Amino acid sequence: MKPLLFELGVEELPPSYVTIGSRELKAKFEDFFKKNRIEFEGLRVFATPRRLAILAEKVAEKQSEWEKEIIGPPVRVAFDASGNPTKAAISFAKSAGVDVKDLKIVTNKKGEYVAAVVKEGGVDTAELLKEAVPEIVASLKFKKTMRWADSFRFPRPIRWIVFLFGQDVIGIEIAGVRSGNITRGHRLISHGEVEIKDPLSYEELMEKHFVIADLKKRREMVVEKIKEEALKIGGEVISDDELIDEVTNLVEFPEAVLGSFEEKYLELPDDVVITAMKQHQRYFSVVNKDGKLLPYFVAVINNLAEYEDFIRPGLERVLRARLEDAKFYYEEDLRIPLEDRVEKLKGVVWREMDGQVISVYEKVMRIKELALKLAENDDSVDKSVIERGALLSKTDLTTEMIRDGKEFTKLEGKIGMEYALALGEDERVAKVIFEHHLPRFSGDQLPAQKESAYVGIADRIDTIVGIFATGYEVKGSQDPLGIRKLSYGLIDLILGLEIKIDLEDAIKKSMEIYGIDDETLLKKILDFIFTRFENYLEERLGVRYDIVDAVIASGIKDLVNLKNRAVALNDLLLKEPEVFEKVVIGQKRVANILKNAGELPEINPELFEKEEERVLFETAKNIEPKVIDALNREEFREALNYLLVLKDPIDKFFDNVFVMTENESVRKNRLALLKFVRQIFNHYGDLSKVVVEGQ
Amino acid sequence: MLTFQDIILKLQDYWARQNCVILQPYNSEVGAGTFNPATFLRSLGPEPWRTAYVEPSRRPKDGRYAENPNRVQQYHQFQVILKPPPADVQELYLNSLRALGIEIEKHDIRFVEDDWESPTLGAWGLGWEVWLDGLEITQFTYFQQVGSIDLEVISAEITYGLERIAMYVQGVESIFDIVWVNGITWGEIYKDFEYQFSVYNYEEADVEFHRMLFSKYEEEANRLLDKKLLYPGYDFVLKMSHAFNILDARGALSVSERATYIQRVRKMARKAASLYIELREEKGFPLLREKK
Repeated sequence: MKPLLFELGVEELPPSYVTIGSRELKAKFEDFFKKNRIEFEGLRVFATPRRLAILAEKVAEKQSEWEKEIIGPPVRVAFDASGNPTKAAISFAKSAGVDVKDLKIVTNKKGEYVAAVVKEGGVDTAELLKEAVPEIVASLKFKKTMRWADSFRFPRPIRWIVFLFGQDVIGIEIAGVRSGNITRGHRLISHGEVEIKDPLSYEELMEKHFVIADLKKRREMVVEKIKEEALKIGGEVISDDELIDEVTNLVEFPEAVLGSFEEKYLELPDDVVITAMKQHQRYFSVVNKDGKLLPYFVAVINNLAEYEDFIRPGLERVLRARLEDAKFYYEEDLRIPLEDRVEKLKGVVWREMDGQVISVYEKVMRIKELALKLAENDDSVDKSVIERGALLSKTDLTTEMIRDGKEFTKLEGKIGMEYALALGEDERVAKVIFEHHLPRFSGDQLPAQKESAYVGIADRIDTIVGIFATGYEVKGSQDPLGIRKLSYGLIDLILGLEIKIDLEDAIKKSMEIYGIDDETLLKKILDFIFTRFENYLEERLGVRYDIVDAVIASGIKDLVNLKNRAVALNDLLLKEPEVFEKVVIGQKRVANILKNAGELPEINPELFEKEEERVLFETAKNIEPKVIDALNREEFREALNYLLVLKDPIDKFFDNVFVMTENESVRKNRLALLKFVRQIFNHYGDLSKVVVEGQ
Repeated sequence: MLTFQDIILKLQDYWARQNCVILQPYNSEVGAGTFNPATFLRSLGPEPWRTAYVEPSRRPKDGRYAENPNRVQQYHQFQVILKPPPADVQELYLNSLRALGIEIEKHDIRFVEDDWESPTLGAWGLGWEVWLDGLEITQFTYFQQVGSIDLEVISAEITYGLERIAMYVQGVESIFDIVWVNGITWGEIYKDFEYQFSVYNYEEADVEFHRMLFSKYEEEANRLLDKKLLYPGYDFVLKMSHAFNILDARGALSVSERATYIQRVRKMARKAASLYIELREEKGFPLLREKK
């Protein structure tokens, strides 16, 4: 067993690739050792922006050996009548590389065969690595790769390769770079080439040359050092895992520097200041014990702490320029009253439809009208907040901060809210401006106020209708305008805040506001959202799509109601799968038999011939008002319980009553009875749509 | 103190020693040094090429009437092309900062992922923005495609933002305070220029006239390129691009119109790019032969 080191020296990789690349490299080496039956111990991976490395403390010098059975011709062909090997046996033995007399006989399904046992493996590990490693490197998957010299592609150029097995170099070439035992230390504070004599010394040697090669260790250092710096002024950094990951992979030797900025910039909204620090500069913001923002920042640098006095002034100056920009925008922006901004929206393009430019102003007016209509019957919300909030919802699109502010454009919504507050708007109205954007992505926070949700729902429906009206199609993964994502956001909002609206009615209202009268379009949009709804419930709540499909068939268009219905049905499926299955099968029989039933008369109890008919009818009649009542109260489990009462009468009916009898009036009466039963179930949903096993 | 012109002279001197052809700015409005034929055309085909030059770069939309200390509608790039890039290209770059007298060992230099793209030129590449103590001073790109053509030989493009570097070295807070040479500031030379061009770009530029110009330039570029008059033809591609920038600054283009204009420039740029390769091939790629 010998230690093994492989290091790929590269020009600075994108931060996310450092993590991804190291994970993949380790997995591929592990896979290689296992597949080739090479014993190994202590496999580690190292990763910095300039290197991806694999170190195994012990690797066997040779592959393990194993025996393999090669099946040859059948015994009757391999030996002649007197038991001597035939030509077939001799040539088989020869090709397998064994003596004829060492052939053995094995029995398998097809009969008796001769077989040769051969030894495999035992190849030098170095030989196998030589062949495999260039392929491993070439097979690493990254989002974007480039060429630099020949046709080899990698995220950034490869500049050196260390490949040591014990003390010996394994000679390979990747992208024209030959392997050796020479690495490089930190770009600025270590000089020249570094020779590696022993793979096991790698981590320590690198540290001597100012490279913390272990990603986890480097991350811990970052976390520790930024904390220490903030503590110097009694503050703490706003924790931000994403930013920590990023800066960890932007440096090889992390140090942290505490810097400050003038207090006057704290008059800006916190989010603006934090964004100025984070977005481009990758600085951490500092707060005091009460969470109040302080005029300090902590930056992670890639050099020694002793140089911090050379570095700090530059860091502070860059931030000052960004904050100065923000302050300029902020002050200029606040000169303009929000009413003027609403007017200015006439000059902001929302999108072009059929060659006509539609302004955001028009959109805002539509959102306002729709939001008010949707909230009409909801007494728990303040309509004036919805009206004013909707009116001002897009005003920040006209501000310099959002139009021109580069990194600040991400603050759309927040800026609108802050400006509204600064200009004395009602706090709830201001909140609508920010919150109607929520959720901005899957898993994002939801609005705290229902008023914001109504505006958000109206905004999304308006966009969906507007885009579909242009003939837009979503096909497979093709959805350049992101309608799918928008629909998920819409569903998230409706379910998250339990906004009870009739979706079909809402789409119809939106179309009316657009002046569109098109039944086909209405159906298309409704189907599209329902399909997303099915996916949504399946992904988020684990409710099967066919269950959702079944409840949608009830004709209810209120998503909150449908969700609870589907969940109750799904619970039944999970808790009592056998009962559930029988009910479904019963409903499938009912649905099938009714398929070609045509016109049916009223049920006439006089025509019942069998007890089972009477029982089913009586039970159904008795149960229907109870089901309807429970559904009206949205007590879905209760409604299901009533429906379950019908299970036995239905089963018995099918067991003992022959529906398709010769006598037409009796037959039609029986069919009418089944139709009645089906109709009761359909109040809940069409259970025949549910998929059961063995179907 | 290192003046603005010292920086230019030192960079020229440094890159001249790396066997770069030291050129002068192109005499037509360009948005970046990449538009200069010494980059756009020379990065195509198999021939090796090294050049360095200053490029005054026009960005009509960035004008701020000389009121913003960090943004102007014309600034200066120092452009370097190394084709093919040597294995120590990053070291060469870092040494150029040392040549400027920046003690980089005591500072924080970072190569931060930044992928570059020019939709009008049909060009893109992967690389970094280079940070000096948190300040972006250089764009470093390995071209992958130029003129919508996959490159045969890769070029490294190093683009220094000269004003950024000067502000850093001189410790000034405004572009206008950069000392160009003792006694003369950047503002003295360009403040009025900035103001007047801001007025022109945002208020005075005649929209219909520029729309007409754009179309005429396009016709002319197309006609000349058809006649294999590459260089005059390419000049009109540059003019198309500038006319587009003016229209864009005037806010005269809707979203889809904007995309169409970009596409029209890109189409002509591609035509020029393929013509360049064709013409060089007819000559047997002379720089390849000379090398042998």
